Amino acid sequence: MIKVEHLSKTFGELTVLKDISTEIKKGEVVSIIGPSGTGKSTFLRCLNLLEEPTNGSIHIDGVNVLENRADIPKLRQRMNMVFQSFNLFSHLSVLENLTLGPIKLRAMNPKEAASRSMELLRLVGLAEKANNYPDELSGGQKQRVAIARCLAMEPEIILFDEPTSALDPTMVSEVLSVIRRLAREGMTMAIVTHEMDFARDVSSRVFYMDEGGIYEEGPPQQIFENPLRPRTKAFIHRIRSYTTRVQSPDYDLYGINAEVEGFCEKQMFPASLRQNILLFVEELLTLYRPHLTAAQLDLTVAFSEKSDRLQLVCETQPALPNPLENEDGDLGAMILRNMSERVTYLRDAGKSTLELTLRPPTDQ
Amino acid sequence: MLMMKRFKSALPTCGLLLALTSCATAPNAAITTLASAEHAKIGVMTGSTGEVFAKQRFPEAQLKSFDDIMDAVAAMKAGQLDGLITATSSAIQIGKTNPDLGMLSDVLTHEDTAIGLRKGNDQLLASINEIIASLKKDGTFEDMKRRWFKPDLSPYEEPSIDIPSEGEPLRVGVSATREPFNFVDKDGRVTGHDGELARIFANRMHRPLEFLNMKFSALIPALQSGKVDLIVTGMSATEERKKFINFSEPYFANSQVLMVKRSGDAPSGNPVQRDELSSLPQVEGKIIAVLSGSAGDLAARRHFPKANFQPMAASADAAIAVKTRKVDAFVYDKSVLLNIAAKNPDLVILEEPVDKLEVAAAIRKENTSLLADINGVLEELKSRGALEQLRKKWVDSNYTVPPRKAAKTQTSAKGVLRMGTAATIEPFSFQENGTLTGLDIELAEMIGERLGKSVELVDMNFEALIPALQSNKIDFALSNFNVTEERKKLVLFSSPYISNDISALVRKSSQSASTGDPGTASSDGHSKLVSTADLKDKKIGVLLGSAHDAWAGKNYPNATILQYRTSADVTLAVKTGKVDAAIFDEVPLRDVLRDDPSLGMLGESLFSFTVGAGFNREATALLQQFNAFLADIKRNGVYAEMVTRWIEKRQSSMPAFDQTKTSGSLVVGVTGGGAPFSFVQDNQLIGFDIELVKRFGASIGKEVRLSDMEFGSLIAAVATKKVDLIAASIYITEERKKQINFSDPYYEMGNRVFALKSNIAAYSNQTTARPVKASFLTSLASSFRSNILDENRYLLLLDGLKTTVILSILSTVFGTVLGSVICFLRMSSSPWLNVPARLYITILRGMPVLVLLMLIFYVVFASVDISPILVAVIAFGMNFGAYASEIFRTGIEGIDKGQTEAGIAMGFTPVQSFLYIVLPQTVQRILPVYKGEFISLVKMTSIVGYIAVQDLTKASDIIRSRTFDAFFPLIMVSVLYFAISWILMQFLQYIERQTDPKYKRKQRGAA
Repeated sequence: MIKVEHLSKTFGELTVLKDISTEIKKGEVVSIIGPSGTGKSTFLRCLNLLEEPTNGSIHIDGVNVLENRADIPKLRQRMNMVFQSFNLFSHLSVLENLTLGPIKLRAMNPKEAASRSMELLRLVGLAEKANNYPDELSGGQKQRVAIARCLAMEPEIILFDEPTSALDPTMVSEVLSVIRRLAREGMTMAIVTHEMDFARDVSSRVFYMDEGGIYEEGPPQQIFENPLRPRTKAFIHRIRSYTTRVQSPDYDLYGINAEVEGFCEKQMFPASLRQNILLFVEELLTLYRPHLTAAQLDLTVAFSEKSDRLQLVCETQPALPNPLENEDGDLGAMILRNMSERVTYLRDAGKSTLELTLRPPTDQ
Repeated sequence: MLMMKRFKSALPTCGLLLALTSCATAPNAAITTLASAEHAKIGVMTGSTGEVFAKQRFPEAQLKSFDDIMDAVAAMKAGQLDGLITATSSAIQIGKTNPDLGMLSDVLTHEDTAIGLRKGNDQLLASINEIIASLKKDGTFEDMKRRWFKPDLSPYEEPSIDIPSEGEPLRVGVSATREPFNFVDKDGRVTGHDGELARIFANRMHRPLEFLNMKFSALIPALQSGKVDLIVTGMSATEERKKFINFSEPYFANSQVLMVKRSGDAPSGNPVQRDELSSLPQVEGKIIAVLSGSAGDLAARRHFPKANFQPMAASADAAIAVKTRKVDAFVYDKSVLLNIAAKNPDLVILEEPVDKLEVAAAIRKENTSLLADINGVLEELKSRGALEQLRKKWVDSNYTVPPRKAAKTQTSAKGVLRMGTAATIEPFSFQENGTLTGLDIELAEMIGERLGKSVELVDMNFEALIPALQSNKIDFALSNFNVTEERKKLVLFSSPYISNDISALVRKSSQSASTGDPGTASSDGHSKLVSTADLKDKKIGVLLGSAHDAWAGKNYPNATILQYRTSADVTLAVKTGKVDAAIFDEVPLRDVLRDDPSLGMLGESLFSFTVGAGFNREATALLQQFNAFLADIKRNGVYAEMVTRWIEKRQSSMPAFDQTKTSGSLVVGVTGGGAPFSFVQDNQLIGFDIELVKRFGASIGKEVRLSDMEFGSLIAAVATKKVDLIAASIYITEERKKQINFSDPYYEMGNRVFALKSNIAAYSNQTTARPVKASFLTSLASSFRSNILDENRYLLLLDGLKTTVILSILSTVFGTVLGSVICFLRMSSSPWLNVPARLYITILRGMPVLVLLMLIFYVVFASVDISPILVAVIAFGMNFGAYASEIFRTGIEGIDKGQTEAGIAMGFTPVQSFLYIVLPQTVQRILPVYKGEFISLVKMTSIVGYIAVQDLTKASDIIRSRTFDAFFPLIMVSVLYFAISWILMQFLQYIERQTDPKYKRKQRGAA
């Protein structure tokens, strides 16, 4: 249905997308995952020409979109989009948000448009909010309305641009369940998301994007269970990670603690594990502190789903000696060694990596 | 004062300051006579007597009021006006710098210029009047007038006047934009005729002087509120103003004249088809060119009362006007016309002469010895046949090359004779190869030769000759001077040296004779007057505020009564056919009729009144003295002698009698109304009334000081003790008795109707004169009545309101559309579009809207005939657009980009998503700011008065300038502005609510 060939996009000097070729077929649900800043959203926005591709071609049902610009608004009606920031029309009520497109663009009579829109609102569970205005809805409700608004145009494909990123964690699931339902009903969809479980469940195909292109694509099982390429592997292994960079001895310990805590909460770690992680982070920072005047430290807390173990990785630039092998028998270093299942220290040109794997909480 | 008197009486007849040529080039037909101003666009000065006059005289004309003369002149030069009514003094000033503008010779109204003083400040008034009287006496005013009111641009001379620096300053309110009365010189000091006058006051009163320069309309409020002590700025003493402030004795006689554009050399784009004339009677009712003030002018006006007159400056212009069909005939001296006809084969002279006149040398009145000399010379030349020879050589020869004048015998020991001549009158006096030549010149040299004096030729304007003679600048004048009665009063004439026919110059008839007179109103609708009863539906001229006025109003309710300010104007109105007849006092009327054979009396005396002297109600002692004096002279025969001398024998000289002045002075209000009661002769007021009061003064041992004022202000003057008594043939009426006391009657006066003998019907002038109300504002109610109800002034406010509303709405609509376009350009990414838009916004926001308005009106659309309202809409719209575009831009940019993206992603085009999604949200956001901008626009429109749009503010200015009451007009206008703003605001608020989802929700909740 959509065929992309040699698509590239640059913003001035910065190349965001380079030479992407792929195809999305009718009925497919494609999830697009990958680290931030690798052009996932840009790729999606290029598909409906919200961003003008610098090069390449996009064929929709065999029509080269870039050469038939007059048809673009018509084509866009067939591939509506759901935004991270909802973008509901704030001067219109929920129902009017849904009916505006059909009435103005498809010349539907207002009564019919309203009744169909009400059905769609029922579908997303918001029929009772039909006459409310967007600013009276919660984030999750807004996004469900946005989805219903897309559906009102009866598109053949819906592009989701990080539909849950702007939502409180508690509201993520209500939006995801609506999308799951659409997937079940066979809607063609392309979804940029950071919700890995959701991507694995709902997708028929997953694009892992990195280095400005589709680095690896395949069925969810392949991408999530047996990624073939190293960056995919690293990403999948560290999908659940927290990284902070410390560049001076005067770091903000409480700020880091709060972020680590937030990460733990999101991963729903038990309180004891959370305490351990905070202890690890604090002790490691204390150990590294004397060196931080001249070096920078990247501290990563990562949960490897595969090994089901929690890892703490300290990368320094330039390379520093292993702080745990301090001859003075530092108390902090001893605690860390004891609490770790495994400690690895690597050092190569200009870089040293200390990797601590925590013992499973049950062991304590 | 006496000098002023002469000035006044001279003006209507021969006081032609600038003449003009005819044309029809402007979008509207040019005005060449008062009658042709009937439907013109005429500018007037807000609150001037000219404005009042114009409303009465030109009810059909479009009147536009200006606050400032310079704006009016600019409007006129830009073609927005056809004519401009202003004071003679200003008109002269304008004429200096604008050679394309000229004055019509008709004087519209007379007005006295006086010093304004706060009511109740009698002490200052008295000392001012004293100073004025002394200045009049010692000729200072004459001198000042000469120095300040000059017709050319030569620098003013101003004597230095010592002003003390210690003491309480005399605060003088001036409006220093009224050259030559008041203006700011290059050193930044207030100067001018009145600047000097104020300095003289300060000098005489030994007080330092402080000028407060303000807008003219602010002067009276400033005086009333005590911010200034007196107003010395060429202010006319109008009745309306007199209600609020006192005026000193007048110190300058001004008049209102109509200024028009001249465009002599511009060819007419579409000449009016005019019929050729072949006989004299056909000339009647046509357009006749005359040289202003010439004998031809007078003769033509007398013989062709129904014609339209176009005063011209030179005979050559007049000839061109005939040729180019702008006029039908040119009436002038035959000798001159012969010359013109010889050079212009398509012009002919009608055989029958219009009039016959003698040409003579003019000599200053007192200079009888020179008169005798010249007459002697002429006698000699005549007997030798030299005059006949001259005539043959210059007049009858139809020369093509001007003959050489006889060689002049040089040198003479016995002095110099200065001869004035106007060298534009071939063959009498003209320039040939840079030297003056012609019959008059040759004759002058002959005279000089015989008298043994060298003749110094002074070439000046014809109009200036008589004044030059009177002021002794020249000894005699030879300039084809026709001997007329008018002129005889002013100068002496020698015996005639040539007799001259006044003839009409017309185009040679090509074919058929004329078929009536299409150009002018016909007199068919009028029948000749048979008896006074016939006046019932006619136009009747009366003296403003006179008993005739009241009588005519009562007895001829259906007649149109036109009020004039002086008896001269009444007479002129009858002569020029502006009224069908006029009612006037019988005795002076007989005098007028004797001088003017074209006028005749109608029927019997209408009614008669006894005449008495008027006294202030408190001055009973003086009244008794007067009555005793009256009884006395009646008894001893002096009275009978006076009646015989003045009224029956019509003598015009004051007898000598003993005038002792021992115990102070007696100020007597008189009016130079006319012979034989009170009139000016040889710069002296004389007459029955004058003799009477002088005798009275002598009998009680007081010096009589005459105060010549307008008839309408006499009663007020005596009631306010400005004069001790008034003696001006005032009828004793019940109404007047309420205000002043009267002496025993000293004469019984009949009142007669007079009209043109030919009893012509006039142009269709449907003016209804409104009676001038003399009510004093004592309470709020009367203030309301005076400001709002009188003269239907509320209509003025309503019209202004309408204009303001229309202007506001149209400007807003235009400004919003323009603002949207500018906003679109401004938001464009192309520099070709957004740079001009940025420039536009920056420039327009950095420019006062008033300046923009004037720029557009006076510069951009200078040569376009465009409605000032449209100009205002454009100017305000442009200004509003600049602000609106930035309001729109911030509104649009304030809308989240995601809204547009969502629309576009849904399939809307960018334009559609702007219209359906961004715009509604923008409107809701910008409305609060937009509303504010709109309200300020509504208020901003109050400056349109500058380009003569009569909006609400201007309406109030007009009312205030008439009533000088600030309270009601200003409060009324504030309320109205508030009302407009509020109502229009409600409309915008409605839109705001409609676009506000929260409001809609609330309504839904309530429902």
